[in-house]
Amino acid sequence: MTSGTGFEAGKGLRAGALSLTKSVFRKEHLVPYLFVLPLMVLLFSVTIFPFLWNVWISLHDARTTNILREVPFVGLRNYLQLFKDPMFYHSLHVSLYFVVGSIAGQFALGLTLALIFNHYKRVAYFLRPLFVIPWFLSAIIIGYSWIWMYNYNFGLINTVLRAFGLQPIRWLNDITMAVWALVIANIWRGTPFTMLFLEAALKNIPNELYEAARVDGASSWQTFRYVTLQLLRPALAINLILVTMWTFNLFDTILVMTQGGPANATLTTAMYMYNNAFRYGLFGYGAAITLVMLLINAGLAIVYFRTIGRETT
Amino acid sequence: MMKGKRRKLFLNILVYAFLGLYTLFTLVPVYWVFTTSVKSSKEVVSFPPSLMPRSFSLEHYYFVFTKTKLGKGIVNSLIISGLTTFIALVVASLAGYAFSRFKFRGKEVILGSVLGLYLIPPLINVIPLFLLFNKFGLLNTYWGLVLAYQAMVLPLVTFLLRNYFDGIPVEIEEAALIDGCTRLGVLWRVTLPLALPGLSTAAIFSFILSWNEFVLALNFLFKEDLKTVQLVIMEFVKLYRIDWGALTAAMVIGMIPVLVFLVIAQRYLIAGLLGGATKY
Repeated sequence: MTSGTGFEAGKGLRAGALSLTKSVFRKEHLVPYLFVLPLMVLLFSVTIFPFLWNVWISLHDARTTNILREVPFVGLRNYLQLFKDPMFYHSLHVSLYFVVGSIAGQFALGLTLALIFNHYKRVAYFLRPLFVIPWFLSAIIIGYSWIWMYNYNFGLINTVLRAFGLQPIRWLNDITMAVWALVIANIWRGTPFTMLFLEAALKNIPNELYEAARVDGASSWQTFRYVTLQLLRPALAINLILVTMWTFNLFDTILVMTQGGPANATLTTAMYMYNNAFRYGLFGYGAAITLVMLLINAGLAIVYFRTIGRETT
Repeated sequence: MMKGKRRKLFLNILVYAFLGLYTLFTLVPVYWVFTTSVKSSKEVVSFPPSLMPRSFSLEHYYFVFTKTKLGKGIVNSLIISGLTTFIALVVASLAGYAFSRFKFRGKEVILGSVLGLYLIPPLINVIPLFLLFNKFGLLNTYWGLVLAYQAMVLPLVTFLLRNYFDGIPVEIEEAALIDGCTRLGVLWRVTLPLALPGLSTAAIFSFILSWNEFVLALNFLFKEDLKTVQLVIMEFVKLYRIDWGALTAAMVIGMIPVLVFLVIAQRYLIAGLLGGATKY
């Protein structure tokens, strides 16, 4: 009984002290919100609000012709139309090639480079800044550089092919080659990110684990397989999510290089969205495509986390 | 022992061969653009093209600066990228400081949504932003683009600065706070000067991102006088039926700021590149 009241009293005392400090620092409590306010206001007006508006647009038959006046509400018609649109499925198919090809190349090269740089520190010091150049260049410059590389008569690649007595290739004008030509350019552009990201993750693996593996008599392959790759899993998952999203959403270099052609051979979903909204002026339909793309991205992210990101053996 | 040594040699050869090939892969497109830009007009269109330039001429550079809108484009890009960077740094310093130093209700939610916004494809907002800017008369203005670019740079720059502030010891600020300095005063007089390397990285990032952007510019700016460098380069393809000498010269000029920044700040840039995604 007595101990109970003592406990109660102590609690009351502490609560009183707490409310006292709270009142003294009440103004101080507002400070962080004031500091964050400009960021919130800006991000709300240039991202969140437009995003919500985009959802609204996707539910309307908005076109260039009526967008500034009144747009008729059509409910889910844009979405239903999308699921019946053969060109949409075609674009998903092209995106699949583009995304899988880009990611396979970027991961194979990026992981190899990261592993090399992690061991050959001096070489890394000189080559790393060179290798990151493509990542920092603009889509326009990347696009035209590769158009020039792929040029049938004057491109470097065909010049080399001819020098070896091989047939030149119509890279960007060939229905089967074009998408792979874009994939190569995209590997060139994106590999530095994966390289740097995985290199940073490799640095975080404690050295003791490698030593323990050596003491246990693990071969270098086993060490790689069971120590390096296992511990890299969360980083690999995050990297994969980021790169998949960027590649799936990417259309700037495609817009510069092929605009979806020849004969829609490089019409990725992102490019299809761009064409619908900005070439055909079908804003409502374009908005619906972006939102479906966002759902696909979110779905992929969940799958990656469940499969690669989980920390099991 | 012998066997281990031979294996090591073999591995070394493999590694250096791979690095050599990758160096070639990275540099060849840039090399091809650069050499084309300094070839004479005659050599640019001679077939088969020369792998090593036989002539050296700056005529294409002269042409793009005197006969095209490239100079104006550079000025426009400098203004837009400069304003974007300035605003982003002010806003992100305040927010990054709050995220680093204060505990407050909703902090995790706000941080998470800032990072989440980074993952929304920028393309999504082009249509509504176009309509919004149309309503407020921001189309065909520097300010419209500067505002739109905040969506692209703010999340990254905020995270970069927060991570940098995290590395600055709080004790330094406490002394100033006890002396009666306000929070804003502390940030301005104590923390920001110490965070100069972080601020520079953030500034370079936001500058490069805005310098390179072209899709929003393409849709929000259509007055000739306002076109950015990237748009002017794009025009070359339409206007001059691809004069590759002039186009490559313009491209080299467009690359210069990026290459200069990479040379002077590559270590910070590389760390910063990962700053938005991971804590480096």
